[in-house]
Amino acid sequence: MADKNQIERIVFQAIDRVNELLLEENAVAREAGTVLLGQGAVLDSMGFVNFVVALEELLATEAGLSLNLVGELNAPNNDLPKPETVGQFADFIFALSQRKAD
Amino acid sequence: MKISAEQVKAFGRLSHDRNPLHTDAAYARTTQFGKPVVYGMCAVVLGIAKWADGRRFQLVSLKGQFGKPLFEGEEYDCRISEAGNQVKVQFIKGAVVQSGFTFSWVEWNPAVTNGKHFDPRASFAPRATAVDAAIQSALPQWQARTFNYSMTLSDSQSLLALGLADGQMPDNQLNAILGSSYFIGMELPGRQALYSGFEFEFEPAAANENDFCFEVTTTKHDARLNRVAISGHGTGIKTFALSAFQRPRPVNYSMSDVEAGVGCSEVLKGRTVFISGATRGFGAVLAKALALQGAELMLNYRTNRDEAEALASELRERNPRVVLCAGDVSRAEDCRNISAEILGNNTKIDILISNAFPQIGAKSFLEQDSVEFMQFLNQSVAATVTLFRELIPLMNKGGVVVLVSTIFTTEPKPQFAHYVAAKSALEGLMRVLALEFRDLKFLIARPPRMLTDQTNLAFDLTPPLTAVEVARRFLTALNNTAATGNLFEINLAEQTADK
Repeated sequence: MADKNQIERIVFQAIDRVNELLLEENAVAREAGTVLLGQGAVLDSMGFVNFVVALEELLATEAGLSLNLVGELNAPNNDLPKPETVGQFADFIFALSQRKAD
Repeated sequence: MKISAEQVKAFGRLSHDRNPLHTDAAYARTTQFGKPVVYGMCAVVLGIAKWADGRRFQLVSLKGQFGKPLFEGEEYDCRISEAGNQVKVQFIKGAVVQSGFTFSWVEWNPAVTNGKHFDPRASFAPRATAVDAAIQSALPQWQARTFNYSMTLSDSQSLLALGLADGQMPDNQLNAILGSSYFIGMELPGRQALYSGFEFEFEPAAANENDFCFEVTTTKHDARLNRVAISGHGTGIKTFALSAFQRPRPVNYSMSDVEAGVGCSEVLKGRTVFISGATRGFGAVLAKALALQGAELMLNYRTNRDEAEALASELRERNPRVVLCAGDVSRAEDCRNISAEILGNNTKIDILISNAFPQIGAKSFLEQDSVEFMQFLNQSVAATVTLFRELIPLMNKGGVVVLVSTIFTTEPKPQFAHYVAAKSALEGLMRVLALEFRDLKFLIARPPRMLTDQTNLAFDLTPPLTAVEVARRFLTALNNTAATGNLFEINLAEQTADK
């Protein structure tokens, strides 16, 4: 099972992919507090889609973790808090991976 | 750098990609973009050509994403940075990257390879029109399949229009770039495609083969995002991976859809309603909703007579009291003509709805220069000011003047400064007019984001309300202007109780 550090690294890798399309001065900061979703988000819809797609691919290839993040983010009955920041995304994915392992 | 119409046409001729998003203005008008979009790969070729500046080269790899659409005639900063044999190209507007790609390269000496010119494979016959099929049914037939392709040959003029000379780069690599545009735009997803990303690893020795093909090995469809991913290898291509969204079809609210949402009554029987910009989007839904309440309608449209006639015919099946008024309501002369027409018919207006507005695109503040920003502001404000100046004098006492504004004036949204600035100015105008015309009522209606062609995205994090539901709330707000007072500001994002 992937540990928290590995998941954080993968989230940062997904940010790197998104940043390939951004100017250096507008790059998404690889910091836990960067807001990715909701009020004050740094990505638009398309940017967020690119981020989630990259994240799902990397989780599968790097950690063998197959997650439906879009489904989990939109699931009305999901009892996990909806992530907004980079750090919360890592927590969210870690919680999903643990749930999957149980 | 500006991308010219001739360059876009040249790319279309060379690639055979005739996807209507790039070639058909009427079709593009029904999409979120409102006008034709430059082929993403056309910008890639132009960027590579600008970097190459006449030198011979072969690509080792090529990778990129199409983040935002590029449009003909708009000014972009094509920024190229180079480190060793790694090159990064970005098309930037203001401080925002619209599209970007990276590639690595080595020098190319065609004499080392067979140097032959590419010959078209006899089996490739380009389609005249793009495939328009459900992606789920099209996917299986592309699994593990060879796709033969050939760009148009012996058209060095078109190639030159894109900045490349014949033989400047290997034919198979040019075929890979142009062929991917054709494949996505004409085959899979086809007509509703929105090309989003690409990645090529080329074979080290770029041979000019006689034939070119993509060997598609896997295709994947992500139904959650309406996204398709295609990968494989090909002639001189070690691996490729392409991705594209399938855009939804144009939004269409039929009369029965509207009736199901707003019902049918005679509450507006005998009342004359003028709607500007009435034949598309929310305006057309409003026209249907008001026709179903028995109103006599005067529907303004700008240029598309056929579209207006089609709407009028549909409305007349339920309500014969519909007339069309042509004219650009941001122009004083057109408004004077409309006014003269109404006067000539001895008609007085009971409800005057300013709905016409230019195409709205999400653009951050620095993405627009001052000229573009002010042009948008002028045009959008004029479409209400000029209309009101000519038609308010033709209104019955107790009539209602309506501004279709936006919820964004009270709940601002990034990337819409131009839109919010214009609507906020008009809301200010309404408040002053309410003081100047005490015998009229003024309603500022603020719809939330709603589903029309402009908001019809392949994937939406926050799906909008239907325009029919917003029209239902609008009718309630209109009814509520019967209350005391002559200025009403109503947020249509919330359900309003009938008073």
